[in-house]
Formats: sequence, structure tokens, C-alpha cells
Amino acid sequence: MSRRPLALTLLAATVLSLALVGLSAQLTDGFTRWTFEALRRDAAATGRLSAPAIPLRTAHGETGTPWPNGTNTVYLVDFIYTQCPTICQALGGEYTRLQRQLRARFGAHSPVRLVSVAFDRAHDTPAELQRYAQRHAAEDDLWLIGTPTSAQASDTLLKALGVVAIPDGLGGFVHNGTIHLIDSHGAVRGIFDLEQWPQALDRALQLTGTPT
Amino acid sequence: MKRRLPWVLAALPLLLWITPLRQLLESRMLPHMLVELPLLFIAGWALAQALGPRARLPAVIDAHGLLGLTWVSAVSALWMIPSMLDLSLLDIRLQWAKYLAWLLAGVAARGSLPRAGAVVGVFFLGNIAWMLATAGLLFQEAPQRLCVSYLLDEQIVTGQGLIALAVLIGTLAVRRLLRPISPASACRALPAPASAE
Repeated sequence: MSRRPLALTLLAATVLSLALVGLSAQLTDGFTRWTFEALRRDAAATGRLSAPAIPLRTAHGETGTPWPNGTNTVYLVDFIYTQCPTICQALGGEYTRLQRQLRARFGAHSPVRLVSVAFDRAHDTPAELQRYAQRHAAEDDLWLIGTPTSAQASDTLLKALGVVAIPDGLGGFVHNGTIHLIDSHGAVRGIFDLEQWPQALDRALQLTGTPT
Repeated sequence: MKRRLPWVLAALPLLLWITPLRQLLESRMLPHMLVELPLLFIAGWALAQALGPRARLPAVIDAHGLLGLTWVSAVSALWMIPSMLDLSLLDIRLQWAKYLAWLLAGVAARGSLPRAGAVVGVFFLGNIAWMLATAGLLFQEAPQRLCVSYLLDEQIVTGQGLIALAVLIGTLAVRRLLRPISPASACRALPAPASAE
């Protein structure tokens, strides 16, 4: 074997390896984020994630699009399905506590609103939304519970935010049970785990300029 | 029939055009990682087999099969990253990149493995086996889902499958090392006469 092909081969293999290391570094944010969820949270923290304006239909049949708007309101948004026996009920419980705090502090003029997007359009009927709202004592002026008005709107919102709901094999779904902090322009300003709801509230208040 | 078989295998990725079949393979982690990806690799291998020497990398940049086997290792490593599996389901560009990368890995392996001596071949096969085993252990040990598109149970089973595949590839590597050296391969391994330099 002549030395020339070996040298050229080593050069080509080195270039290829470096290119792939560079690509891997780019895809994992410098070898620090190996999962899609970690990348998604990083995108939110650095302002690279935004929620499209999607109309939501409430239990009362009213249609509303929380964002964008010209107010200084920020939204704490979760994704639920009403038949969910686990994480969504836990989220509902935490939202009840959030609602209580907001009501106690701001009365009828809270700069932070709660939004629960019900993504199982087949089962999240107005009656089921109403039951979910009652179970968690949701108050309409503080907490919007609604389902996207069309399957396309639902897909658009979930895809834009990287929320993935997969069948759990028992008739329900497994999905990202997180709280999304979304400003009035639709920009996602943070993603928090369920148990981090106090931090989510603090950050939301910071964004509205309210002392925490 | 024997001559047609490589073409038939090479055409298998066309089945991925059939959406329900593609969804069937990709909706669960085990078939995604341990059926679809190996299938693409085998299809690439068969394509190279069918095309013959035309499908090999030029010898001048693939001495001892190093370039082709580097590609195979890199593709294997890249697709062990959990986010890549999710992204390939959510981003159509990455989905096609995945198909192409694994197909080309099969092509490269078929062309480059015969060029590699026992040591180089075993180095790369061992490296891939080690990587699969590491990923398999991580998939089993992780307390939470690594991919948003798959359930935790599937992740654990896939981890076990990756370890089984690692053992299989490791066995192939050992077999290759212990294989008696044929006169032809011995000649290839010898340094070329000085006059050929």
C-alpha cells in the first residue's frame, strides 16, 4: 500500500469526523442537551419558541384567542385531556392553587392568566370541559379552558411548541406535562415542570413588571 | 433469483413511501431503531452488492476501508442520540436525512469492510458494538422518557434490544478476528513491493 492513499484517506476521514462532530455539537447544543425536551426548553429560554395564535372554544361555546394582544398579560399554559386520570388532574390541582393566589393578590385584574388547552378533540366536548372546570373550581375570568377549534389548529399549536401526545395503550395519552409561560405576543418565555409552578408564577410576575 | 435478491432488498426502503407502513415502524421505538434503521442499512448493503465496484468509494481515499467505516460509525453514533429520533419524526428534512444516511452507511460498509484488514474491521465493529451497548444500558437505566415520542416501557425494551444487537455485532467482530487468513487476504495485508511505490 502506497503511503499517498493512506494519507489522503486519513485526511478525508478526519474531515468527515470533524464535520460530524460539528453537526452533533450543533444538534445537541454543544453536547449539553441530548433529548428533544431539553432542546425545547432551551429554545423557550432563549426566545426561539413561539405559540401561533390559535382560537380555543370553551365549555360555553365561546371562541377566544388568548394571544397576541396589546396588553401586558402573560399566560401560564398547560396541555391536558379531560379523561386523563394522572398528570392533567395534577396540573389542574396546581392551577387551582395558582388561581387562588392570583385572585387573592390581584382580584379581578390579574396580569397573569391561566390557559388549559384540551387536545383530545374527540372526547374534550364542551360538557367534559365543563366537568373539568368544575372539578378544579376554575373561574372563567382567570382560567381559560378550551379546545382548539379545528384539528389543524390543534396540530399547528402542538407542533409549534413541541408538545407530543402519544397513545398510552390504555385509551389515554402520555404527553409533556409542563407549564408554558407565554407572553402577549405569543413568545414562549419559559417551560416549567409541574412542581415548579411557584417559579413559573414568579417569572410570570417578573415579566409583567409586578414585584414578586 | 440469486442475482435479483440484492435488487429486491435494495428496493425495500421504497416501502417507506407507504404512510401506514412507515407509521407502523416509527410509532414504536423498538421497530424504529431495531427494524427500520437496520433495514435501511441492509438495503444499502444490497444496493452496493448489486452495483458492484461502482458503488465503492475511490480506493485513493478509502485505504483499509477507513473512510467508509468512519461514516458507518458516525451514522450509528448520531442516531443513538435520543433527540435525533424525535426530530426525525417531527422534521421531514431530518426524516429524509435519516433514510439517506443509513442507506449510505450500508453502501459504505459493503464497499469498505472487505478493504479493511482484521484489526481495522474489528476496531470499527467493536466500536459500534460498544456504542450500542452503552446506549442500550442508558435507555434501560434512564428513570424518565428520553424521547417524547415513545413510552418508557418501549425505551426499556429497546435498550435490551440494542444490547442484544451489540452482542451480535461483537460476536461478528470476534469471529472476524479468529477467521483463518486466506492467501488472498494475506497478500493484501502485505506491504506492496518497493517498485510499486
